[in-house]
Amino acid sequence: MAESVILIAGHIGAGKTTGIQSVSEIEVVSTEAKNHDKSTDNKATTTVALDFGTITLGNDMVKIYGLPGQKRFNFMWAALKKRASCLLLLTNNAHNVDNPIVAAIDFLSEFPELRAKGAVCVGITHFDLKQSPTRNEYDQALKTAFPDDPTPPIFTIDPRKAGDMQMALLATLANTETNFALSNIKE
Amino acid sequence: MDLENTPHRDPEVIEISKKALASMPDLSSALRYATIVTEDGFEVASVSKSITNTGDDRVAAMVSSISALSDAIASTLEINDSEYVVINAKDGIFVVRRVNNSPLVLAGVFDKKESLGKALVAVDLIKTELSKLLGIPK
Repeated sequence: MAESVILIAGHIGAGKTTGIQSVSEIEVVSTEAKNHDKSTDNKATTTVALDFGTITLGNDMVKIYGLPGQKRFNFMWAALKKRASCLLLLTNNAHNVDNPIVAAIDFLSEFPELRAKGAVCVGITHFDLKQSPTRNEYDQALKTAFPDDPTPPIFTIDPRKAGDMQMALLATLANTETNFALSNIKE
Repeated sequence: MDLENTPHRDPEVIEISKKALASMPDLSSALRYATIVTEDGFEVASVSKSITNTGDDRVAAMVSSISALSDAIASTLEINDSEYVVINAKDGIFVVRRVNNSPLVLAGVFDKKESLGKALVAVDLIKTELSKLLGIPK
């Protein structure tokens, strides 16, 4: 059985911990602490190191690492991206502090190697609460921000739903493998 | 005093934390740096003898991450609450100590001339003093 490592990144409140909890086949390793910065997000708790879960997708054993959302924890991003096969970025469309497109570009800027390999997918969360920006607006913004990289697939998901998360994880793996195969053909 | 919601911005909590840390160099001449942070990675107070580059909130965030990871490991292994984390590096000792029943975490960096036991005792005494000053139940 092959093993893959998928990182889930995104702003605080994007649904990373919820998403991992909804699909993991093991009890999720969680590092939640009380959130003392309600100006950033009104959540009661926040992830301060990582979330970890696993899921079997086809013949792949997938290890899922959820990253802390705040930039002060970017040393965890740096540590975990070294072992990552691919990245699922969750972006909270209804976040009331940051522009979700700007936040998405900021996050993706931190993962140039995965971006360049086309090993990235974007999941728009809380779309039921706010339908703007649209998928097309994300698509255009990411094409403009990263013109040399394969544009990541973008879809709307509800991290509370296991089916949505499974689809997003499968799409992230498939996109990574497809871009890898395409890069071999080009060479 | 707002220990629960925004301790890193509360003047009284900050003052008490500074007072507790001020006695730390007397407990160990090998102390290089000590800090009190919130469990989600905001510095409340710090004292430094020779370490000045702590990367703004970077060390505070790292302390909270290490503390939370140690809790997760202790919980997974069913060995009850994590009390200390020790990093025994080539040129120093780093100790992280949760302040029980509070949202605070204490950390200290010591020269290698200090024994690990003395470093742990120094951190523990400051933790006890901080708990007393903040009125945190044992």
